[in-house]
Amino acid sequence: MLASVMKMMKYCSLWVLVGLLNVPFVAVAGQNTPESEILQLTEELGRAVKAGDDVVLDQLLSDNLVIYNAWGKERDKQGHLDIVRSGKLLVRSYDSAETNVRMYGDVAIVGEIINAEITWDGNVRDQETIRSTRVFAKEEGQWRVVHVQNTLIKGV
Amino acid sequence: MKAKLTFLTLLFLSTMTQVTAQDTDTETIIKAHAEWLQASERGEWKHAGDIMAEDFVHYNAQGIMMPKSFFVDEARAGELSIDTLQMESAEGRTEGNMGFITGVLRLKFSRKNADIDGRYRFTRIFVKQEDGQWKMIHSHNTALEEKDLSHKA
Repeated sequence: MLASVMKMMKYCSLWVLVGLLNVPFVAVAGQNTPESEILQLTEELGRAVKAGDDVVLDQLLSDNLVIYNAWGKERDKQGHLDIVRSGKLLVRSYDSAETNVRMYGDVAIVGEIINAEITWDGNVRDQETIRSTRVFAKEEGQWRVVHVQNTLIKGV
Repeated sequence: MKAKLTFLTLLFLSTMTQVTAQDTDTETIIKAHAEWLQASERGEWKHAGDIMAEDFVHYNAQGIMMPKSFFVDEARAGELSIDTLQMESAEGRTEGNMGFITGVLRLKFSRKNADIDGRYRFTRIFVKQEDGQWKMIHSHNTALEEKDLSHKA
């Protein structure tokens, strides 16, 4: 009898220990650090660009957004949304690599390399590789993209 | 009525103070950027390095990522030499602890015996440090093509 109680206690202790050990791992996995939040938003932004989702883009982009595209042309948020809504721009593929986030309080700089294949006004373009800078800033508690600059990487 | 006027006066003064602080910050980063350009042009890399944060990153017009050490080390080794640095337009703005200088410049420089001459759209990003100093944390150049780009998205 005593032996079986001891065995049961040992078994329970083992599970309690496993449970305790799991707590920090679960907590870490569920932690929403500013970096992970920015990474999630960057992925969401990429999906919205690929899908041409103007509603999500409208939410993620600041009203004060300034974009310098890969040819140095300047555009604001409205100008960008107008292009997306016109249907002239079709993103056939969109992948990002070397994503790097640097946090400075309520400012985040995201650098990455984007590989995209697009159709512009019915013309299929070759895959373009772009070095991108995106600046996120907190506006009324929400992270939004306030600045974008892209550079075409030639000969890739 | 008197209380209302006092409140409005305080509100006005508070707004003015904010505007003035923002203007001062913008002037500070414009000045810091001008100093950085001047120091780079003169090859005073120690001074230029003081304006860059330790984790400063530059994306050049070929899309290559360059840390602060690249500038300072390569420049010190005499491999990077700026011949002409002509600002065509520049605009500064600050929002809280973040500041931007954007514009267009013409840059003629030589690197590893290769001469490069072009017009670039640039962005410099500054962040106010805990000690109140503004440091440049990021820079990005994009080559401006002279031909008609109206077909480019």
